[in-house]
Amino acid sequence: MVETINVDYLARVEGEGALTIRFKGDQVEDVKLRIFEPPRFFEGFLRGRSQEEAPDLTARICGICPVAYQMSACHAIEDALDLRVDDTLRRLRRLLYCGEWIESHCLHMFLLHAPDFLGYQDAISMAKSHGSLVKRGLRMKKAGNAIVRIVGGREVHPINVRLGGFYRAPSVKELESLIPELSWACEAALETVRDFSTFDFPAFERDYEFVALQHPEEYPFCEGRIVSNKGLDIPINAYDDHFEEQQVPHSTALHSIIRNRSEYFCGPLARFNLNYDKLSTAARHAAESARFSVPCLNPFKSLLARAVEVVQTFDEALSIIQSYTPPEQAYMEVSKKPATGFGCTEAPRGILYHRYRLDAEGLIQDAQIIPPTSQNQKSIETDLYAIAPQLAAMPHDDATWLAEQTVRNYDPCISCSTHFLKLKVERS
Amino acid sequence: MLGEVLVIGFGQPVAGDDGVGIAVVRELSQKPWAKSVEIREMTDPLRLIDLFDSGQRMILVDGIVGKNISGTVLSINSADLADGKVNPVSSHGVNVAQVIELAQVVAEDNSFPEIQIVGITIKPPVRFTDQMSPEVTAAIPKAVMKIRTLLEV
Repeated sequence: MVETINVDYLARVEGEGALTIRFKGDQVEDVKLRIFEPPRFFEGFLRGRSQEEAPDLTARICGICPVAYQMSACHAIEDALDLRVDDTLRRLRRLLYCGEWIESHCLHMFLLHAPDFLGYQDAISMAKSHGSLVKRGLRMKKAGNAIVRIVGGREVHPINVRLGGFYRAPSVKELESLIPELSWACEAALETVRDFSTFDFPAFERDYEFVALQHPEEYPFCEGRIVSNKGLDIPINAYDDHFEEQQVPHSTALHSIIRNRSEYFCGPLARFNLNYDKLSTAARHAAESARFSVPCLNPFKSLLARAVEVVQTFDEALSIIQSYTPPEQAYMEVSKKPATGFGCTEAPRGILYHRYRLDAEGLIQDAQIIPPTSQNQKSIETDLYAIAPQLAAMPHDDATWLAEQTVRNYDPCISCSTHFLKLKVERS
Repeated sequence: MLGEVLVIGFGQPVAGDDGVGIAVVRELSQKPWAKSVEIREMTDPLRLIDLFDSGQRMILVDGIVGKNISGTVLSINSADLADGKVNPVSSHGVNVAQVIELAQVVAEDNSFPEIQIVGITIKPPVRFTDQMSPEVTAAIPKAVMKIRTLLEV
């Protein structure tokens, strides 16, 4: 029997960490997803800064999902100030978020996750045999980049978002320039769901508690209640009452649990399961055609959930652009008062919670930021516990492959949670 | 407006010597250029893939883990990377060399831009710090000089 399996480098995840799976005989003794990046202290250095700075400062936490940080920060501070942006600005925010989901999902689906299912070590080797698939993915991603560039001011770390709305609203002409490529991308996204539905998904299910935002009228982005498939149904400002962060010795990222319960699963598969009825007609039809239905308890099918969400976001982006009339003002006036505000929005990888306590001068007295990867971290470990018996029975290389694929189901962004993964499987 | 030449510094400034690519382009940007040169900083190499169809000539600056002692400035081409002679540092599992190779695989015929790489050898980053080692810091002006020479060609 192999006693120790070491994989010193797990590629195709955002960030750096390590994984150890320890066996005693055929039984799993311990699983640790170790995130060893030092804390980044964003919450600390936000103290004393102006409320106006929070969207831009927190956006720097992640190069993949800066819009999520901007949106959660804006919504939390606007909640404290009792400010609600008008419908046009709200739709522009949704359009910007569509761009980020498209960018992030296409990157993960085509370059990081699809190689697992097609049996390639990486996107480069996959592209040699599946060039058209990779080209399609890159072109779709680029269409998302274009949305972020035009609405957000630039592709990486957008600079056009501010409390109350935007520094500048895009013109009709600017947005209409996106229509031809978005129209192509809508079809390409449907083709992608069809292609991915033919993949061989490992047979694995678990009784997850899925957690996502739920909005009465829309597929969730920025607003709604936090709900689960096991009875959780709370307003965003009750997050701290129902969720708890726990420090574990092996990780610099905190583990989130639901109080008095345990781990939970957020992200595309959770959103899909909890908001299926809010998908656009095109997205729902795409899922139905792929025989991808709810409830889905197979985390490997997160790939399909992402693909359906890409259909959803291209569809919604086109809809918003085609009905767009520029707002009279790009932003609404923002006041200052001592108050605490709460924001939770759906980052590509799941719910991203922000809480800010502000003083009368509009300075941040206290901040809390809980990214989706730390919320999923315990669920990743629990998946590895559950799949470990399969790993124990597999040859070293196959076991390593499946363990890595299990982690990649969550598209973890370790750089957000406090970056690189080393897998160590120990057997005794 | 796009510059004729795009100079991109890669790295993670809070990972010690891994931030050298960023530090070099920041030093480079202190002086104006006669030619139209666009300077960018990039932390995630995957972002590079969106730029290949711009048609711009590219000079990429990055930390390289290789056999040379730290602080050696190397001029590298795509073939060197493909041979695995040098290894650009990656903090996200995908490095500059892999992104270039991927882009070459999917590029349409004759559409791939001219790429030159200036590498500064470093040891693998192991801890969070915004301080670079003395030997890598000393290499910054040499790397700037190398880029200056490439831009004059």
